Amino acid sequence: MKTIIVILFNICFLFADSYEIKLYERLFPKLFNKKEIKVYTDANKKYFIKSKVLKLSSFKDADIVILYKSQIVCHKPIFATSYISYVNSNSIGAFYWRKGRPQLILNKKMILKYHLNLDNSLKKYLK
Amino acid sequence: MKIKPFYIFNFLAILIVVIFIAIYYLFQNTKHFVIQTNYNSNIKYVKNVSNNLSNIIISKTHKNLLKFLKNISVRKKLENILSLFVTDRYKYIYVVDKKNNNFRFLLDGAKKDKAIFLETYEPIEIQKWDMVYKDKKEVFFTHKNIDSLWITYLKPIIIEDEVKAILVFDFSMKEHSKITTSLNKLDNIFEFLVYFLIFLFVLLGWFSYVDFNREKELIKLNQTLEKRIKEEIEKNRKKDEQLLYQSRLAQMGEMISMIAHQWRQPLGAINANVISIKFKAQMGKIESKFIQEKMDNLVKYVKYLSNTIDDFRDFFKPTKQKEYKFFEEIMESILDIIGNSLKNKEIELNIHNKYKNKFWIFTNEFKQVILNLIKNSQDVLVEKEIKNKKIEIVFYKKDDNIVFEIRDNGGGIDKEIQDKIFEPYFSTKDEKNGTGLGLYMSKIIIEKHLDGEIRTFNEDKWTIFEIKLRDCK
Repeated sequence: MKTIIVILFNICFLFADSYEIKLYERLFPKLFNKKEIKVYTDANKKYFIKSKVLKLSSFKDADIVILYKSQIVCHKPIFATSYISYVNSNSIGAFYWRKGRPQLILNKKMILKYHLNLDNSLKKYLK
Repeated sequence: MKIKPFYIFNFLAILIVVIFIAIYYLFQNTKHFVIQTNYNSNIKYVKNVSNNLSNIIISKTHKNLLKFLKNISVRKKLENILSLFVTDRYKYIYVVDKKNNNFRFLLDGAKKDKAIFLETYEPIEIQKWDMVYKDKKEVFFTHKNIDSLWITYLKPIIIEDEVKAILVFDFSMKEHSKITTSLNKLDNIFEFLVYFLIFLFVLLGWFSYVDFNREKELIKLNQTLEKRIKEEIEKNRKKDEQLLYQSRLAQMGEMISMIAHQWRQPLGAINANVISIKFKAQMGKIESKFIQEKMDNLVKYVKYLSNTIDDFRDFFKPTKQKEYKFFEEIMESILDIIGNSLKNKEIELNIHNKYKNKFWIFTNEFKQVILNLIKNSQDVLVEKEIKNKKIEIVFYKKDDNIVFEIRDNGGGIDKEIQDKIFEPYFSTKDEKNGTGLGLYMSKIIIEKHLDGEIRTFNEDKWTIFEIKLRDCK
């Protein structure tokens, strides 16, 4: 997975958003052990519509909530997009850019809490 | 030796190509020097700043890095110091340490994208970061960022021979890339021009080679032609020499005939005088006065015979330079030779001199031609048995030329043969009287020696030979 990230980083850096969604497309099906993942996000990101990761208008039916702006109180697994929101929320992980480098963190405690599947290739990112 | 412009052009082309190649290699060296110097100056700056920052961090934390950095005021002070060196080029300056195989931020000099204290960090090419901990040595490596090439410099912060943290410098090589790109573009243009010039040079060389071969063939052809022309000229010269020799022989024959003719009368007179003396002596009536008178006569006739010989000898000697003569003088010597012959053959000779001045002429050559033409007229008139045989010589000036016309009433020359009469070996006379060389030699003398013209034409029953010479003053 790490190698994949590095390669993707090198090839797709110019298309950061595209890179991000491709990461979600690989990461979430592994975590939820499902082919199609329903996502709720507070950001208006068009690429969610076209991907395998379906965007929903409400978090009620969502498998995961990706937070870009606000804090939210829900019982659904949350995925953060900055280190601060990762620290301040009970998110299962976070993906963000730091010093021009992509950062992926997974929270072991929360993953276990939601009984998510932890692939061997993802264990490196556990904190 | 005359140098052809084409060879000068070739030499200049070679010179330009050589100079251009030299400039290209000079440019290559300069390019590498500029790129290397620019790169080195960046690295040197980063190294110096890193050393200073590392020393500051160690001095401020009193060798107990993590403990002191937990103090927010110490951290802020140090981050402020780091931020002093942050620019667009030196974008990220931060300090990380490694715990449980994870890197985490200790200090961050950034204003934007600022990391939190102890925030975990996943660097790219992590093995190089690990290497800094392992080898305790600084590391440089390049990576592509969004807009340009970046270099990451990892400086180990070593306290008590242990790497406690890494000071990281992420700096842009954008300007360096711009310089390198521009120089590379220039390099490509230069390279193209060098190859293009070499191509042109090869093309030029090929053209030169083709041209050289063509010229060589031309020279060879010219040499062959020159040789052939020389051979033909030599042949013609020999032919002319032969003709001249034949002509001379013919003229000598004619001269002997004329001398014989000239001598007939004085010899007859000498004979008469000798008989008269002999007769008087036999009669015994010889007187000293008579003897004196006859002896005077004999001396006179012998002198005449001698003069005749001199006249003929001088007549055929070539004149070395032009002489300034009256027409009468020339005609007088001609008539001395042929006058008696004309008289004996009952040919009336009329001379019309309309130009009374002297003129420059190669006398003997000219006399030879006039004599030849008069002799021709005489032969024709006798051969055709013309009654009232007449020869007229007219001399006058027309424009810048002096013109001689030798006319006879021999009935004219057939138009069919008019063009041929000046050719060698062409004669209308029988073999005994004609060699076919007289008119040919006359034409050669007039045209080549005297720089004039000779032509013939008919007027009623008159045959006219016209000679035009330039009146040189």
